[in-house]
Amino acid sequence: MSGIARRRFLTGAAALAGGATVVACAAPERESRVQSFVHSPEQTLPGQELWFATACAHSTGGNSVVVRTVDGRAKKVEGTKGFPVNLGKTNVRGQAGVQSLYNPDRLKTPLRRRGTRGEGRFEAIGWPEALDLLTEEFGSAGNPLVVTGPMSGTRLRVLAQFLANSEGRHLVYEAQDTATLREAARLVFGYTRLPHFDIANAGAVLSFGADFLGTWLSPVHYSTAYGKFREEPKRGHLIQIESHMSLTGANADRWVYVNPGHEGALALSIAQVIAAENLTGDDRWFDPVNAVGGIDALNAYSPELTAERTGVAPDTVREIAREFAGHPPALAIAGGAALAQTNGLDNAVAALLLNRIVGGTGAAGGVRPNPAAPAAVPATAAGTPFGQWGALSTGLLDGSETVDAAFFYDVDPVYGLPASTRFADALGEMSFVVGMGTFLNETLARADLVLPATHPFEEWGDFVADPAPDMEVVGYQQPVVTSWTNARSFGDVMLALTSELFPDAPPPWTTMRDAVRDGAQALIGQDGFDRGWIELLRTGGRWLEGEGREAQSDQPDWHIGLLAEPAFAGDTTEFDLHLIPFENVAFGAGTESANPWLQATPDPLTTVTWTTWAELNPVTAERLGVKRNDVVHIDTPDGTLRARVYEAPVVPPDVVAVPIGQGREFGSRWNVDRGANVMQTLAAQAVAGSGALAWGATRARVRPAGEHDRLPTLEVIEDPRNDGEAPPVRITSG
Amino acid sequence: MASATDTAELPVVAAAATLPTDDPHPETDGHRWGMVIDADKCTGCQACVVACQSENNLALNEENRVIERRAKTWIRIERYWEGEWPNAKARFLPVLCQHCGNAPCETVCPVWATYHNPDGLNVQVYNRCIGTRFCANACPYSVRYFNFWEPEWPSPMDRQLNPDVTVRTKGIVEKCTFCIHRINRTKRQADRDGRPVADGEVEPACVQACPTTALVFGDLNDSDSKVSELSHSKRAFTLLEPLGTAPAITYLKKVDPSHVDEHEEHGH
Ligand code: SF4
Ligand code: SF4
Repeated sequence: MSGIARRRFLTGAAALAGGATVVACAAPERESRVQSFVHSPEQTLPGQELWFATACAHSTGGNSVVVRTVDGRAKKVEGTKGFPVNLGKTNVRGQAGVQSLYNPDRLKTPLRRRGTRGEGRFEAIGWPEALDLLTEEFGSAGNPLVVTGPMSGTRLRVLAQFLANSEGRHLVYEAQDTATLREAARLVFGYTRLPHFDIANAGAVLSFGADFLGTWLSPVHYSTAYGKFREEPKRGHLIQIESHMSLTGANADRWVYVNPGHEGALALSIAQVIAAENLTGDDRWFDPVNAVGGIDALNAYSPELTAERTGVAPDTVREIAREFAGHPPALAIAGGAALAQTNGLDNAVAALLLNRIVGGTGAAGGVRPNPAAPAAVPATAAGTPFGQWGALSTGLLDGSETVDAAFFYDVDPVYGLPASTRFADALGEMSFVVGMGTFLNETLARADLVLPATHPFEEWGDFVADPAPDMEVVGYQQPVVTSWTNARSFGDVMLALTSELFPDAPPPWTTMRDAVRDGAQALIGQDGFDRGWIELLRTGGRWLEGEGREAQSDQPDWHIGLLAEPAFAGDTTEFDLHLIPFENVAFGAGTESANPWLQATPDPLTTVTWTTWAELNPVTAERLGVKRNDVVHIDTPDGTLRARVYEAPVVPPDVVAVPIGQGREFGSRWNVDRGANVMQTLAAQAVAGSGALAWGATRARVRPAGEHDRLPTLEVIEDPRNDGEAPPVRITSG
Repeated sequence: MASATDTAELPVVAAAATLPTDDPHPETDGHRWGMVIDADKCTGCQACVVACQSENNLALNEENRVIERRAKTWIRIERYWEGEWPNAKARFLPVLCQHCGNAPCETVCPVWATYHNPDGLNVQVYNRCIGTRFCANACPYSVRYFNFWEPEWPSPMDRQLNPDVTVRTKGIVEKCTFCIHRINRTKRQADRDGRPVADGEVEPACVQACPTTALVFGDLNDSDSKVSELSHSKRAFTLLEPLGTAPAITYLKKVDPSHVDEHEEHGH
């Protein structure tokens, strides 16, 4: 250290530390920075941990988490104790919130397109320039379009300010389409909100394809409920009926394979046995059965008459009916591929109807209507079903529809919609496209302007749990660390855009924090608000009994005669297998795949990590002449994909099952060029009556590619063909 | 074998403070930490696995690490197939260090890098470990992991690292600690408050995360603790029991209503 530098160091140190103790010994070889406590951020003491309650970064149902921070860095996620949705618990995705926060490949600054759309070439620009561009394009746009994921609370109110002024449209893209279940709940019970499925207190749960322990609606909530459901000595009985074994199916006491698309027929068959054997012990089944066509109509679905269609033996149907009705309170639920059929709505209705037949509605252990969301914090906006995306795409491509400016926030329809929808091409017809998110994705890569969004742990917000856990729950979200990127929150950008474009009718708030506080004030009142606000942030939110529970309709709005046969894309001779895509437990429909912890999380059943695989029954694999680790082409009428074979005894012989979530061109170093995107190969078919994507209704054939590539699995199975082929192992680093 | 009459010829130690014992769980005044894993509640969801990775600074398991079978998971969910289609089933079992009372890993370490602490934990002293991997060979549960590489977290991912847990360097063995840093912190806090550690107050990261409460942790020396109570369940068993390792983890069998024996055992 030179004399001058040393003198400077001493002066600085003395000024900062206010004393000579720091410099009492010999000057260090290397200059070090000494930071005084007076410059520490608010509340931060070196080495002392602080926990902040906030929204879970990656939950679907509305979980609250506490994040441990030390020295301004987020360290660990745990569930917020007492928060009624997740009751202090998390799942893999929730745990990974801290890793997505610090992912080095996050979008860090606004980007302006340089190359052609979809090329993914951008130049970094500053926020002032980005906001100017945004204002200019949206100022001249006649019919702006805003596309977001499922959204509730203050974000919706902020967005509404923009939409009201600009006469814009809001479409909600759901990676997991809930339109069919919502419509079924309306038809069966008359509920307009998703009801509470009281798994914790049920004696029997009969699930038609709903993977409630892995991916369905609110998996952490249902997993906590499952823990109680399995509590001794009562121990509930779980029956899972599906065409591909899910995580929930693996945990069932009885797992039953049903031919895809015939879940509704099987549900009616179970209903027929309940009625014929009077398994409820009284005639409570009579009114609901009468309302949907009467016992004669139901008798057409006796186990013998449906066996061929459903693939379920009559004796098994009787046993299911007896187990279900014999463990009251009995609860029937439906989801997954059962609903993703062309007749998925009928399947869902027939399944949920069982609740009315055994009288399990309204009471504990049954289907319970949920209270309304408070007016101050709006409930989740309804998703836009697949049919409307298809129509938008067609309209843009044939010129009958125009979009001057579109804003995509935190969604990736280009990735999630089947290629045959041609949504990527349709995007090209929009005059100006803005994409906002934490990572680049297939949609954002086609935007003219890309805006970096704050991570959920860096922003203000609130949310309404959907489905609510039998009570009104509003969760609060606060930043737990300051962002290490130059990102802004969607709410703040929307507020800035609205005030800039409509100075005569500016929004009543300037920041998201103001807006969230304003909503909270309306929620808990002005009196003692400051204390109440702190309490909301400390506990993660507010929950209470809630008001406005919907009354159940007098009778179901459906008729047995409406149950349609399923239709499949691809004829049975050319495409001999059912293609069943399924959501990955770790990263869902691909939304969290940028995260290495989640990529490395073994699929619970196959233990495969990091890639796309094709699940085949060993008998099917043998017939096709393929084995584990062989590469195959999976052809559908609308596309083809490559995957490696995983043989499992639980896979039905006429099914090829493929996880959703890989096959990205844009994202992070951990998810780009990895596996294949099965959604792209699906036929663009909608569920009749709900318009959702019938993603389980495409047939496929499997062809060997003549290649062999070892699957990264946790389990070790020696394949003799690997002898001498094992990859060389580098045992030193650097 | 020496008889009572020839003891005079044996080197007799008079009045030793503590006598050597072959009891895997000698009486102590302190804690004996243990866990109960209910296979009937474990869904295989993997939340515990990622919670552990996050809490304990486990290196990223890149694809090649998995292929080379060198991925590190202090807790892993083993999946077993049972039967053939259409009656095939999948079964899940979380496996982590069993903190054995008679730990085969401890006796083989030439430098005492792994030993049993007074709280019943099998402890790994990282800065003593010289990387012979004898312990990993000796462990019948395959829960010890050798660091073949320096761990890397591309910046700023390293900001997430837990300051309470040592980052392990290349050349040493690591494994589940029962989140000893959480145990110690809770004990210190209880000491400061002048009270005993309450049952359920210590939660390792896996136990904290588990949404179905399949994992229960506590003090086996406290006969009123939940873990003590559950470990006496009719469904209780230990892994590889015939080896005599005396694990601190008790498993509870999965209930299978279609299986008559278990059905009866379960008391239905
Ligand atoms: S499980 Fe293995 S590592 Fe753990 S104490 Fe027993 S022998 Fe040692
Ligand atoms: S978190 Fe609990 S339920 Fe999930 S795999 Fe681990 S032990 Fe099993």
